Amino acid sequence: MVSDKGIARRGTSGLAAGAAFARSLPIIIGLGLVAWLAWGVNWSFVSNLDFTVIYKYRVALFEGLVNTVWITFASLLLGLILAIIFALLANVRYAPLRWIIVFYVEVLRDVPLVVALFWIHFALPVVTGISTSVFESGFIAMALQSSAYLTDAVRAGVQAIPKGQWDAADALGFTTARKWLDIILPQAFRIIIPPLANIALGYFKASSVLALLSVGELTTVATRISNYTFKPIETFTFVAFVYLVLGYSLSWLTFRLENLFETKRI
Amino acid sequence: MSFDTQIVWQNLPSLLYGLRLTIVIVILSLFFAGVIGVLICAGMLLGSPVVRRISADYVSIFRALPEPIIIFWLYYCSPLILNTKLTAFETGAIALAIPSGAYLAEIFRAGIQAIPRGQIEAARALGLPPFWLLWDVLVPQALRIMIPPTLGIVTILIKNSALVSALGVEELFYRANVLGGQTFHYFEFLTVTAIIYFMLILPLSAAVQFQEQRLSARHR
Repeated sequence: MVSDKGIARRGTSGLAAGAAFARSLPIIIGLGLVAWLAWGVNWSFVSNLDFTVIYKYRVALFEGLVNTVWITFASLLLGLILAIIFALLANVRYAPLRWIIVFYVEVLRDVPLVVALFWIHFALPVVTGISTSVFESGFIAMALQSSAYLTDAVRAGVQAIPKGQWDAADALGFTTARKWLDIILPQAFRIIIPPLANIALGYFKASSVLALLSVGELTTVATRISNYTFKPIETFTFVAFVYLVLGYSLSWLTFRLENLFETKRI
Repeated sequence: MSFDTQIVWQNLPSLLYGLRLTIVIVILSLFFAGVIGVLICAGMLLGSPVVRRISADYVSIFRALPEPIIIFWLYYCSPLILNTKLTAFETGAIALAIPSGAYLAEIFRAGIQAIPRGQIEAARALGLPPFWLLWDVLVPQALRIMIPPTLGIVTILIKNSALVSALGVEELFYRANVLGGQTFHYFEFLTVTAIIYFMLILPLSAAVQFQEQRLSARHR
């Protein structure tokens, strides 16, 4: 009994000491990192930053932002339409068609967006004979890739609808079109909203990848300004801040949207 | 239009050299990301309120920032700010690690917090020393939860490693572009590159989907 207590006490005290050490460890490492970084920083340069460059190029930056928002919105819209079509086709009782859709989704999910973008811009014209502008290529790449992710989301949403709803629609003699448009899709859409919002946020971020092809969205504009004025710190910090603020407001908005639908359901 | 296999075969060693660099940079930045993830996760779970706040802010900021912005920021700004010069390769590895570290921290935190409190209490009641509590009770259970999302992060890391080509790091995508430009056979090289990325990522993403299905089946 006594020895038991002893073990228990030693165990807990050891645990407490370990916890205290573990608690102070991140602080020690963090302070060490900060000190190391501060030692390596060229402070005379940092104190001479000139943020007036942002004001000078405000029009270009605003145009870049508009392009970012526009290309994200448009490509997601096309992606969603494609995704709904693919999700519907995935329910057709013809196996090869389903395999094609699974293959399409898997290929587009597993190839980096930059590679898809460059493939569409440089390789696709060789096949089709139609050359696209950089903006069109960016739009197509984002629409196709988002359609792959959205197909999965839509399919999961459709699968989440209880069997009873399908049976009820069949029992009431609904046509296939009415069954989908009036019963399945509206309910599925409510389930899809959270993953849809996630994908939308992801593609708002991913649109900056298009800068590698100089599509003309915010990151492209930032790169141009920084190359032209030799003020990369000011430009890129400001643009990062813009992405952060917009991303946060977008996620706040989707959070509110989810809540709205949540209360409606109850 | 015809697919010129001859030219692909001739330049395959160059492409595979790029693939090797892609794998090296992914492993390196995964290691950095793991270190960042463990530190930030410890800060979020064990730190004082200020440290918790900073760790949580790190996660939310770097999850919201686009990766190209982080890469460009480091590449253009670090030579001006820092006294030491980083190579493009180092910049790329660090820039890839920063956001992945934020994701990993969140995965580690979720994995540890998913372990029922009773497991720790039971281990303490049995008088298990702290190290064995960590090694025999917490780690095996947490790992099982952490592995699928961590593999997901690896796939994202492989995809994002193609962005480092913008800095002139000669990895797979950079090689494909250079070879395409030299030979005017963009179609062949970009297609082969896309296939290589696909074959690299497919096993990982298949494993993630398989694991997730198994986990959700067990919970049902």
